[in-house]
Amino acid sequence: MRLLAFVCERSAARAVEEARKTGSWPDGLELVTVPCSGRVDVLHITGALTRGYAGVLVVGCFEEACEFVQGNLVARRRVDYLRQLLAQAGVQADRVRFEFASPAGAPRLVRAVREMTEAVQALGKGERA
Amino acid sequence: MTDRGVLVLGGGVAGLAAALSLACMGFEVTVVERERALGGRAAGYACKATDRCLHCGVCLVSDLQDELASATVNLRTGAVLEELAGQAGDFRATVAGTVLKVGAVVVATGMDPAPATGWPDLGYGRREGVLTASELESRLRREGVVDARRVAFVQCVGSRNPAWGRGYCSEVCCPYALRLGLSLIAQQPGLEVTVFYNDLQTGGSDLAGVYEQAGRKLRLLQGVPARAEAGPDGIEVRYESVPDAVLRRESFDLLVLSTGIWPRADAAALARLLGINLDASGFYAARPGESWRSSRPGIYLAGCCQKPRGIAASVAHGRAAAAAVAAGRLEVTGV
Amino acid sequence: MKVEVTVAGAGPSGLSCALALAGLGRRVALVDDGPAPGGTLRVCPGYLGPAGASAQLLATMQESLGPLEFMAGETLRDLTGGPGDYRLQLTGRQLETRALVLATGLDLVVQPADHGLTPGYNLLSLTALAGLLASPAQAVARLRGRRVAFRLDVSAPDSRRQHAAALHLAAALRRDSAAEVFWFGRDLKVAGDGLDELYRETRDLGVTFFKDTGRPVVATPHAGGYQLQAWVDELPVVVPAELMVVDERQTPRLPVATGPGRSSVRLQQRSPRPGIFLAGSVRADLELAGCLADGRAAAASAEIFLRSLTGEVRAEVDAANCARCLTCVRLCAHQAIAVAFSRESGRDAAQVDPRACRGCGVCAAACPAVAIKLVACPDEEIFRRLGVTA
Repeated sequence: MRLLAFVCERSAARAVEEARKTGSWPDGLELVTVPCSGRVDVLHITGALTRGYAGVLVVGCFEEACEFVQGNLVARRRVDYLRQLLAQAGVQADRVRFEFASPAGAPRLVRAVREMTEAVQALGKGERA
Repeated sequence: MTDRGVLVLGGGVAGLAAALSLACMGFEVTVVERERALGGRAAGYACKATDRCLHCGVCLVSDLQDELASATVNLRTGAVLEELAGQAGDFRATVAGTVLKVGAVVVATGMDPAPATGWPDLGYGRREGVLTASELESRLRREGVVDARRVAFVQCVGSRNPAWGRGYCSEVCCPYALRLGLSLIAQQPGLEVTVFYNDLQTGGSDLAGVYEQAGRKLRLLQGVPARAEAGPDGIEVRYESVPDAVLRRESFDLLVLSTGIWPRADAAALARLLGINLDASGFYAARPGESWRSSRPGIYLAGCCQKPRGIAASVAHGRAAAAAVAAGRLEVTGV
Repeated sequence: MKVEVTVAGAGPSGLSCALALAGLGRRVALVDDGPAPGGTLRVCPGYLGPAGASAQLLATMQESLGPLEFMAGETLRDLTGGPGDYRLQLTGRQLETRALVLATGLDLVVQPADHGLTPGYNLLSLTALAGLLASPAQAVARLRGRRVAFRLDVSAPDSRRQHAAALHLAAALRRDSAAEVFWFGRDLKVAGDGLDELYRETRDLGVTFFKDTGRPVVATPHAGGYQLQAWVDELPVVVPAELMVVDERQTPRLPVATGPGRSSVRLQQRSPRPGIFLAGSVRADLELAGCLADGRAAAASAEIFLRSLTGEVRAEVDAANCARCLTCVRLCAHQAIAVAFSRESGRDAAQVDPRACRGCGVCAAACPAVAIKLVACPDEEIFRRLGVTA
């Protein structure tokens, strides 16, 4: 089962790096680094889902910590909107998630990723509900 | 060219901010850092976000490290300054046996946290579960959680007492304790956080939301306990409750000592080496109205080596020192 | 007139900033609505520290102003243009400037109603008290031997700056006018240069401190003055005072919009808009030393901005496909996008100002016509990583 995460290069990407150094980063998650989580388009996420990814995580900076003021919040709104659309289309919304992260908060991101992985595993391989 | 060369002592946030600003302004910068890694103490601190950023500034460390990757700065890690000769505009600095010719020196050597062993009655080093805030920070950075339900912070350990030679407020401890408390609660629901304080330092626009949340979610108790002992149910703390002046006992799983900012133990030795003065508390003395300038021309100060500062303020002070160095150099060369 | 940097506000932060930039060889305009530089240092010596020290500091700073262009009696009316090429409309003239530092400080307004009182001769704001103490003869006549109560943390709770001011003023009042001084406030703010020492000194001079506990302190008019009631160890304490000194409501004085939302800790002295910087009290609750350092830090940031103005293109618009829906204009936190006539396509289309764009890609992701390309991270690249073609 393939999982994908879009990670903001100013927060999540660094937390991932730190988690990798300490060996706590879970395997099996593919990463796409973006300059800001606000760069992630709904089309990128749906593209990933149709291509066979079972779940997509978008990770941005915590509220009020975005270098670009509100890119993270724009991204979160987009993900929320997409989750609604997916639910209407009969796809489990939980396959797509948004998480906040900080470069100094690796354990917290690892927890979030584990949670997401378990949730998606429980949903199965991406058959339509 | 000597005059464009600047030596920055210390690769913590203040030193890095100064070095990067100077590099952007076209100076040849060498950073000398005692440790193997850059980033200083703040690099080991944890993000204190709840469901939102609480503006603790720890992410500024990685912002600076990122900037460093694309900047031209000479790095000498695992090294210290051994000797400084010459004068402003023409210093000769010996680092790890080699001589560097620089026009100015920025001292950004940081601080030491107040030694918690100096307060034996609070049980540090003798009771399990008593730790300093910096130890808690690095535990959270590594593990993200604590194994405790009742956590108490004791403020002003090593601050605000002239009897200890520390007649100043360390400025950062109230903010970090409140942020750590809120962040812990947000990540570990069910945790109870108590803060024993003298005067909560919640001024500063960064803290507006933090204080308001802390008032709702943390137990803020005025008065700092003098003793903590191993009790049947964890660490037993004895304190005088302020509004009713009653002596109370209460047990906690984790007692966090909010240790203040002290000058580094080797501050006096480095001051002699650099030929600069110390102030009454043992920090490097600055000129009035110019906190970034030491008593000696050509030697500048940045960050916590001059007085207690938080992360964001240290970064700002590093930039301030850089601006002063650049302006000073131009005066000398008459550009 | 053309300059490289305009510093708006000639208080301690603005002065400190302008001095550093001038020292760096930049052409600087220092603009202030007052007749001379100094801001609070000039108008209210004694507010930011001992009056003598403030005057000394101001004199030193003024001496080094040198060739710096000081524009008195001017306020910022309008800002047009973009980073590297801003145009400022002042009250009496226009300025072309590459960068702008806002060191415009705070608006302080006394609000007796916050204290449940009406304005009165014996009700002074901290600023008014500092003004009174600046003219010793008047001050002595009005304050000598009086009972004075400071009431803080009402209009501006937990203001470090106002606590510092009140400590300096309380010490001066006690020492120079032999007034009896009482202090009512929340937790004392001693986080700042020498403030804890000043607090102990003030206490040793005989100022009595009462701390707000759970129950509020109540001030009522009484016998031409006031009467304040506080609680100590659960018991009521009543203090009559002939004069009451109160805190003031403070709002940052931002003459031009710097961008949407609250700026993050990561931006520090930068604003969301490239080329516009913030220094001093307008952006943070700082005491004097903090303001001076903040001004220098803003100067360093502005200098770096001036040196790094490259006009590198980070986002490109395909003008022919632009739907002119304004989504990108609305979402851009850096005010980098505007709809204007595009020569190549012969129609109106969104255009990105490369100097203002920071390359976050929020616009590219939101564009319904997929007409914006983020150069460093284009759609094709993201899709390629996913193994999909767009």
